[in-house]
Amino acid sequence: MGGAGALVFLFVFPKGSISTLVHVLHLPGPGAGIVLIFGPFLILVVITSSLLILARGGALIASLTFAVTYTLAVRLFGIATDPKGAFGSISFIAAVTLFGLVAEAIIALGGALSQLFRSVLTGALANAVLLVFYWLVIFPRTVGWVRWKDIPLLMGICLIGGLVAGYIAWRVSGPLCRVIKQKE
Amino acid sequence: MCGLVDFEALQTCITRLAALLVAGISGYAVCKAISFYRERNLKRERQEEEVLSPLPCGLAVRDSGERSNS
Repeated sequence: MGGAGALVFLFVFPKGSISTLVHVLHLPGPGAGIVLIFGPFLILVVITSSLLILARGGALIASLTFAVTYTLAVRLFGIATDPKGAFGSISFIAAVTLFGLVAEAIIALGGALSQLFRSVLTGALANAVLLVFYWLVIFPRTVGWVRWKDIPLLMGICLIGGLVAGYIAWRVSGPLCRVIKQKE
Repeated sequence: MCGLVDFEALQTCITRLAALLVAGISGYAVCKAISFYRERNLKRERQEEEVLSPLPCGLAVRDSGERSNS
């Protein structure tokens, strides 16, 4: 699922589409594209995979596969990506791996919580960690530091986007699980 | 991530997203239709089995029918 998700992301969001969407929505940057599109997409892929597999390490493996497949596809086919997001670079792999680690940790630690609450919490926190990593490691090299006044708005969008994506992933995983069980 | 503006890329993105959505919905509808027909067939088979089960052997019904016809 991680590999398929990476190819879908590459297909749906060509170079310049995310930054243009952010521009159209008049959102501040840097980070709006990450919290609004890339993070929620990653949450959908990673949490759905984890809920379908129901085994330890599902989220981490899905995110690693996503990062590696995306990077390989970009390098092999020479697909142009947005340089601001550093998609397909080593720091991109590090960001997605960190995202997977955080998601895996929350899923493992929140065993007592309900599946819905765990998915929503994982979505929000993993999206926040991804945004902070981009702000501290990637954006200073590509675009520049985020302005203090933009942080509350971007963090708010990040948490809401993560919650919504986590909820959608939980909703989608139910019917998918049933389909897989029927086939088995 | 503001700065680079490419409306053609955004248009491509929306078109591809819509195409994927349509493909997903169509796939889901096909899967639903297949499972619906499977369930219906299964129900019909079960009903037939229930009708035949009180008799010692299902074939007995067919045998008696064939005899009466001949």
